[in-house]
Amino acid sequence: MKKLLLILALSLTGCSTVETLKETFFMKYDSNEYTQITAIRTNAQLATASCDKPDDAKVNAQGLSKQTTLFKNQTEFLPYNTKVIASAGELDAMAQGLVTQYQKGPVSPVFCKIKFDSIAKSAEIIQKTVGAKPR
Amino acid sequence: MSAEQIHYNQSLLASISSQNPDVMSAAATVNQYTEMCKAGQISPAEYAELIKDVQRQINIQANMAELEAMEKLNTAINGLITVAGMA
Repeated sequence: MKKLLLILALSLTGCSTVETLKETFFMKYDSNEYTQITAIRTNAQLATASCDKPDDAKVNAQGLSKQTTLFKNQTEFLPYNTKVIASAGELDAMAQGLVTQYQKGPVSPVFCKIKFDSIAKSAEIIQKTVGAKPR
Repeated sequence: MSAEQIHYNQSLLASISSQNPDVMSAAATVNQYTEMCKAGQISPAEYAELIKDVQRQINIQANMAELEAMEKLNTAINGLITVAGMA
């Protein structure tokens, strides 16, 4: 039976690396990880409404970038978590990119809305998958 | 970026034909951003940042799709182990 399960595991993933299999079976739901990504998604959603008020939007962008950096740092050393670690880095880069534009000067409301919306959508994708990790 | 370069890249986007909805969606998004930049709704620096975001979003989607597959595999294997244990 064990042999059969191993063959099934290898054939279903199409991946033969031991590390991937270890991650598959040892990954674990982390409530802090889930809470943080939920907060990022929520704040990005709410911040979209501030894009017509540049000062408010800038503050929201800075606040959001701190949260994405916290999320990136929090996931960084969790074992068997390579996919979330990589995604947290991408999400943080998205938020930092918005802050950088505000540092350069005025930002167009269209850009602001697209940015917050993209961050919210990406956070939702991560949230959905992180929430389905085995307990 | 010159008008010719923009035109060339937009033609390239228009020629993309894929069964993958994510690829088609990314191509449409890039084209939409290009039109916004041409219309002056966003600056070239903002445009460049949004294009980078498209790539970042593709990476996130790919990572999460893989993680989702791993989660399903985990559930299936553990379910089979339980069933095997009961037999």
